[in-house]
This record gives sequence, C-alpha cells and structure tokens, in this order.
Amino acid sequence: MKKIFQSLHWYHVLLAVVSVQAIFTFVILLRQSVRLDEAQTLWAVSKSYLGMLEHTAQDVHVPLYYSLVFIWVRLFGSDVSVVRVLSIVLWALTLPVIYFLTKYAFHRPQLRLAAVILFMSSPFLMWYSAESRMYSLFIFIVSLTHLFFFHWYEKPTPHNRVKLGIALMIGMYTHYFFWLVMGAQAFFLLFMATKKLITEKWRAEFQWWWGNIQKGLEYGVISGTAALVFIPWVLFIISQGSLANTKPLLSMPTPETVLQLGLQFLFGIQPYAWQGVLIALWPLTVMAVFIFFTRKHHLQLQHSWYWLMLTVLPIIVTFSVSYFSRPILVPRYLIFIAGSFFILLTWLVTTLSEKHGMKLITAVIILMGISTAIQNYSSLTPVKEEYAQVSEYVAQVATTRDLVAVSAPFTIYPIEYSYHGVAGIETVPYWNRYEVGALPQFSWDEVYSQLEGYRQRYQRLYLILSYDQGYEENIKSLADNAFTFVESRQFSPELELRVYQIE
Amino acid sequence: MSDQHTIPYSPVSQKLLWLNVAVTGLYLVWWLQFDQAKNIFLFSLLLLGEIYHVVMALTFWYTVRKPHHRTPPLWSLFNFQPTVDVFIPVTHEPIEIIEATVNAALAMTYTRKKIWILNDGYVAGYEDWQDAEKLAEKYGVGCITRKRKGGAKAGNINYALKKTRGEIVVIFDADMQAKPHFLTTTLPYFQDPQVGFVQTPQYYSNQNQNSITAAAWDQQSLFFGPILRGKDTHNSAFICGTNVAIRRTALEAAGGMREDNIAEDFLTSLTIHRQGWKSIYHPEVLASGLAPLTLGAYFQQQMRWARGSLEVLFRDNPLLHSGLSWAQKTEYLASALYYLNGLIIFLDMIVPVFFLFFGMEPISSSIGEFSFLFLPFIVLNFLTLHIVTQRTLSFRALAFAQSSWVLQIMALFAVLRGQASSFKVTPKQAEEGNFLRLAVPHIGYIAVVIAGVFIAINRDGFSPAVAANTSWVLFNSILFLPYIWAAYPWSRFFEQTLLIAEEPVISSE
Repeated sequence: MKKIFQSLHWYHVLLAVVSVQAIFTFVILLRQSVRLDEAQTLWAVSKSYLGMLEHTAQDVHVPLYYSLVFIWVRLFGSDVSVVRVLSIVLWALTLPVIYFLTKYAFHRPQLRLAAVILFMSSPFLMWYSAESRMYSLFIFIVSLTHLFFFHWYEKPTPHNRVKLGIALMIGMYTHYFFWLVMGAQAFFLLFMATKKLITEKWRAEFQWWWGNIQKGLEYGVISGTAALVFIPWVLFIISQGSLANTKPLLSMPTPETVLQLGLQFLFGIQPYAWQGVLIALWPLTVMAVFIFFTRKHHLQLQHSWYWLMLTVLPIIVTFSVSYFSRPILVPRYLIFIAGSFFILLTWLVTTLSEKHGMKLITAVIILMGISTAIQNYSSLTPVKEEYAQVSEYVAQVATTRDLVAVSAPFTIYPIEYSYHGVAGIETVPYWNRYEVGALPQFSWDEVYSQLEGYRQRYQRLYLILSYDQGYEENIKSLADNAFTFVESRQFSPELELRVYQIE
Repeated sequence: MSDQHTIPYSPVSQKLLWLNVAVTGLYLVWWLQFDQAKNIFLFSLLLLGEIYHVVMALTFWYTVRKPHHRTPPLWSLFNFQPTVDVFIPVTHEPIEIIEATVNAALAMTYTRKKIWILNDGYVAGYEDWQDAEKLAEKYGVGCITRKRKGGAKAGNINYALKKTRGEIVVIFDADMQAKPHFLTTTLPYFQDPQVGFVQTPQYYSNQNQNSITAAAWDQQSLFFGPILRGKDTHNSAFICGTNVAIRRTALEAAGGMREDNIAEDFLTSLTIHRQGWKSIYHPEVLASGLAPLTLGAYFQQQMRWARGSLEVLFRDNPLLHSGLSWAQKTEYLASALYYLNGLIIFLDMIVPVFFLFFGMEPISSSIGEFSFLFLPFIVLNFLTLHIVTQRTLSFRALAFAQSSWVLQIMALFAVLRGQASSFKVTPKQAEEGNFLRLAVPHIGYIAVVIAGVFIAINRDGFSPAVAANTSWVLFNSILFLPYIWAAYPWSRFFEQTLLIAEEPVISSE
C-alpha cells in the first residue's frame, strides 16, 4: 500500500474515484429543478435565430453558447436536462485540455495529474458545469486559450499564431469577461518585457528583453485582429438600442465575496452558516503562509507569473470596477480562472510538504468530495432554486379561480417552464415579456392597483417570491395588507411561496 | 567572494518593498478607524500590537533595502601591520573546547599577534580555574587571570586591555574557532583610520545536531545574513561579542567594554558609534562555534540578549544619544525594540482567550474585511523575508522566536524592576535533564484555550466568531509545538512508555 501511495499509481486510483464521483454528481445535478438562468436560456433558444440573438444582446451576453444550444435543442430536444448534458460534455472536454496545459506548469506527471484531479473534484465547477449556461464552455475556451497562448509563446510559428487568434475570437463570443483573460495575458507580456529591466543589467539581456517586446507587440496584433471579428456583434448590439432590465440585481461585493470565491472553488456553494464559518477559519491560511515561506525547496512552477496574474488580475479588476463603478463581481462569472487557480493550488499544497504532498492533495480531495455531497443534497444550499417543486405544489393546490403571481417578474421563466397547473400566472409588478425592450419602470400605485384588481376575479393568491430586486419586502407588505395571509412555504433559501385568501 | 562561505542573503526588489509599505499603510489606516472598536480595552491591546508590528516591519525593510556588498580593501603590507591581541575569555568551559579555540587562533595567518586566554575561572569560584593557565602554558600563549570580580565578560576584557598593548583587539568566545585567514581578511579594513571595529558572522558548526541548534542557527542566519548587512549600509553594524576585531583606541575611547549592561557588546558598539567611528560587517564566515545544545542553554542565551537590549531601550535609548545619525538611531532602536516582541505576542495570544471565555470581541468589523487587509500584509512580509534570507527562513526559527515570549516578558519585567543582571556564559555542552519547566506557560496556554474553545462552543455554537478565534489560538498553539517538543526528550519518553507497555507478563507458573 505504501509503495502504491508513493507512486504515480496513487493518482490513477484517485482519478478513478473522482471520475466515479463526478458521474454520480452529474446524475444528481441533471435531475435538479430548472433555475432562472437556465429557463432564460431555454426561452431564448425557443425563438428564431435572430430572435435569440436579440434576446442575447439585450440580456448582456454574447451569442456563442446560445448558438450551440440553438442547434443542440433542435437535435436532441429542449428538456433542461438535455441542454445540461451539453455543458457536461464541455466540462469533460476541458479535462484533457487542463492536462495538456499543466505541461506548462509542472515537469512531474504526478503534479499534472493532481491538478486535473483537483479541477475535476471542484463542487463549484461541477455545479455550474451541469447548468444550461455558458460557464463550462467559457472554462473550456479559456483553457484552450491558455494552451494556445503557451504554444505561441514558446514557439511563435504562423500555425500557432492562427490557433491563438482563433481561440481569442471564439473566447470573445463566449463571455464578456473573456476580455479580462486577454487583458491579463497582455499584462503578463508587458510584465515579462520589463521584469529584467528592473532587476538586471538590461544591456546584457537586451536580446531577451527585445524578444519579449516583440512577443507583446505580436500579441497586440493577434488579439487586435481577433477583436475585428467582434465588431459585427458590437454593431448588432448598437442596433438593438437599450439593454434589457432582466438581469438580477447584483449586490456590491465585499472582501468576503473574494474569500468566498476561493472557498467556493474548493468547497462549493455551502449553506450561509457554513460559508461564514469557512471564511472565519482564514487565520489557518496564515499558518499555511508561514509554512509555505519557510520551505527551503519550493517545487518548481513554470510560468508562475502567468498563473498568478491570470488568477489574481481578473479578481482585482472586477472588484475594483464593482467598488468604483457598478457591481460586476459574481463568483460564477469568474469561473474561468479555475484552470490557473487549481494549478496554483496544486503547487501551493505540494510545496507545503514535498514529502507528504500526495497525502495533502488526497485530504483536500476528500474534503472537496464531502463538500460536493453537502452542496448537492442540502436544502440550505443558497443557489438551489426549487422552481419545479414550487410549481408542482401550486399546480396541485391552485384552482381555476386562483392566481399564481411571481416576483421578481423575470422569474416567470423557470416557473412557466415547470408549472402545468390550471390557475393563471402573472408577474408582480406586471410585465409583458413579449414586448421588446427593458422591463418598464413601475410605480407602487400601479402595483397596489394590480393587487386590488385581483379582488373581483380570484379566490386565492399564490405569490412566489424569489430573486429579490430590492422591492420584495414592499410587495409582501402590500399583499399582507390587502389580503388574508394563509401560509408561507420556503422551497429553497431564497424561494418563498406565500398563500393569501382574497375573497 | 563567490567561493567563500557567506551567510545566505539575496537582494530584494525596491518595488516589492514599496508595495509592502503601501499595503502596510492601508492596513494601519484600517486599524486607526476607532469607531470599529467593540471592546475598547481589547481593541487597544490589539492596536498596540499592530502598531508595533508595523514599526518593526518598516524598520526591517529600511534595514534590508540596500545591503552592503563588502569586499575587503587591498592590504598594503608595507604600510600597515598592526599588532594584534587575540582575547579568548573563558570561565569554566570544557578545556578541550578552549584548546581547540587556542589552536585555531594560533593557526591564524599573521605574525604580529599574541593570543591571550582571559581566565575568569578564579573569580567565578571554580576549583579547577588553573586549568586554563596550564593550557596557556602548554601552547605558549598568554593567560590573564583576574583575581577581582566585576563586570562579567566585559570586566574580564577590560582587565586584559590594561595588561596588553596590541593596536587591534580580537575577541573569540571560548568555543569559536577562527579560520586561518581571519586576521588577513579583517585587518585590511583598519587601514581606514576611521574604522572602529570589524564584525564577522557567528557561525554554528553544530547547527544540525538537534532542533535547538538548528533553530538557533536559523535565527542567527537571518541576523547575520540580511539584517547585519543592511545595518552595515547605515554604519550601524554592532559588536556581537565574538569574532570581532576592534581598534584599541576606539575601544579605549569608549571607556572599554561597557560593564553596566549585560549585553556589553551592543552598548559598547553604540558608544563607539557615538564617537564617530565607522563599523564594518564582513559577511564571510571566519570563525565557527557552537550553538546552544539544550533549551535551557537557548533560553539563557536569549534571555541575556533580551535583557541587554531592553536595558539599552529603557536606560540608554538610542534616540536620546547625541552623536548618532538618524539611520544609526533607527537601527539601534529597531534592534532593541525586537525584544518587546514577547509582550506583543502575549497580547495577541490573550485577546482570543477573552473571547472564548467571556465572549468579548475587540472589533465590530467583518472578518472578511480584516482578513482582506491582513493577508496581503502578512504574505508580502513573508515573501520579503523569504527572498532576503535566500529561502533559509525556517518554520522552526519562527516557532522558537514566537515561543520566546516568556523569556522576553521575564526580561522586560526584570529590566523595569531594575533587577541586577548576571552574565552567564551559554553552556557549550549538552546538559542532561528536561527543560519542561521552560515550556509550562506554553503547555498551560494550550490547556486553557482548549477549555476556552469548549466554553465558547457551548455558549455560541460553532459560529463564525468562535471559528475565527479558535483558528487564532490553534495558530498560536501550533507555533509552540516545536518549542515544547524541544523542552523534553519526548521520543525517549514514548519509547520508555511503549517498552513498559509491551513488556511481556511473566506468569508465576
């Protein structure tokens, strides 16, 4: 056993275990309720291709993922679990890319496998890779971009330039945050070009320096050329006019948000109470810092600046923009840093103890496995959106004389997807989503009138509240005052059903 | 210098140092927001500690920012061949150790030298005090035996100064064996008439003997690597008691070695600097000796240094002395301040204990906010240390430094109460017995915090506040473990216990 434990074979065993766990996890995740974002995806691809593009533009997204789903649903059907399979396939395709990518980080095959296994074990990545959204495509493209970047960086042949250029083009159409990847890569090249100037006699290193300057300029040309392909999309957005107001209200990120990001990569999206405790354990990271910096022999991490910058810079930029301009930092939007994050993590963990690195990695993977189970099974997991359950319940109890009202208005997408009852559905405040354009402004008088209008027509009101846009309490209060409160049911942490007697 | 044995050191980027300053500034600003104080008493304790940490960090970066790269000047043998007195102060060290030191001193390449054993065995009351005289006779070196007590090691040297005439005085502790080129390397510096002394590293040849020698060396390595090189830049290198060459006129102008402080070397350096002499730190290992072998010896050595430095801080504060440049004042102050560390560690240790037992919280801000500022501060600090020590900084050294809070507090109280100090030579031999008594406060702390954690969980559940404070006490406790481990031969204890347990029961049948 000891011999196995100290050899590469141990990682093969871990890989097998983690693979089984991943399959198991995906089977569970595939069966979960449709979530708001997923319902929006399904809604968008149910339109014509042009209609889908319009929806995508207004929803502040780029169209590659939607285009793929557009084809996918026409080939395999539009059930949410079918669309989720596309994301899982992309997650699986990312794994070999990550493995090839680790060649540019570690010489040792053990460490390369360890990084892939850690990546595979991430409950956070599994959660969003089983969602009918663009996240797994995003990670896949970003990982490919890293890989092609290194192909070009180490061997700038025409072939490699074209590969990198194509990856950049595709990346731009995958997620707007892809620009952060390009920015970080450009910064890395700039840094490398000036690094030696700071630390060494640059005249002696002129050739090296000039080589980096050339690389920086070349990257500018490649990315600039790739950006030209993005212009049609920009023109299309401009032609669409105003953007939709269907985006959930993002809260201002706090330092906890940044800590959460790292913790979520490792331990997934845990119930709020656990998240608080996990963050509170941060002094133990100081101990890790002590141990890390007192190691005499650090395992070699090639291109360490690259991994560091590609992990840290996007966080700094999004946090700064959120702080000084408007909130844009949402942990899942930064999912693309996962590749570099897990490479750095592998290096950090194994450097803490070269002798026991394998055991430490194993311990981390076990913790991640437990976290995955808690995340997927706990009813307190904050990102759970049990729209299917609430819809099923309402369909059973509501009659034709009742009304189902949902707020925030855009949550009608997932409700409508899973609701098959006889009572009518309406949004509060009222919103006609078939009208092109943003969610219109509303006044509280209008909402009050809307609720009062129910008196003549309905017996009971089933008010489904989720995705608080800052006015959920007001709507609750208006309904409480207007009607007789019957009961409240909590289906998931931020999904409440309130039942009122109208007559 | 490349083929010479120097103490590890690496220059650090100025940008990194400025980044350190910026991050530290943000961190300090956060601490100065007094409206976040939840319990003003605990907040003040922590604030005091953090201000201390920031001051120490700033002075450290100031020290290491531009280290001196010394190469000995060319030696004009025709013009400069000073007479040298080599002093080997002894009290009751094992004779074979002194013998090796005398032999090494005799082997130094330079003819105009005279070796002296400064024998304090008589005044120390040892019956075999004459052994040193016999040894001197055997090797044909001088022996100066004091008959009148006073001034400890400094008194011993000062007595010898009166009996000798060499232009340069070289001091080696009884266990410090010089390399043959010690004098030919250090003497050329004295061609500059302004040079008062040349200090070289205090290298421990037994550093790999056990965890204590290793920790002691790791700490020495930080001091003789980046710190003393940096101090050299500011003409603030100080005499470290041994492996040093001092110009007699400089020493005499300072009134000899200062006898009014247990750390006579530190205060003497300060006096020499006040009179405008230059100091040199030559980072090549030119003599090697023995590290303290037991925790008792380590404790004794550290206690002496702590008391001496704190006495300077409270009685001869460098800031109040004329004749020193601001750079020198800063460097001396930083060295003396280091030994207040124990008090600060203690404050940092007890604040979470207050929470665990009584639910008292110092700060109302979020955990995330604090960690957001603290983590970059500590990471950059350690990165800088990691770089300047050329990756030789060890966890053991940190753990021993952290665990020295007891002796540093004892030293502080002794100085504040004006207790008489006595110079005790660091034992050069392994002593039998356990030193668990020196680790009682540490073990006691661990016991107290375990109880505290149970009380806090019982009171609040495993809340974020309980988790954070538990993490801090765990952090402290982990850092005490190497020290506790070194206090007692645990491996022998476990072996014995296991042997007893495994002993077969012999039946009377």
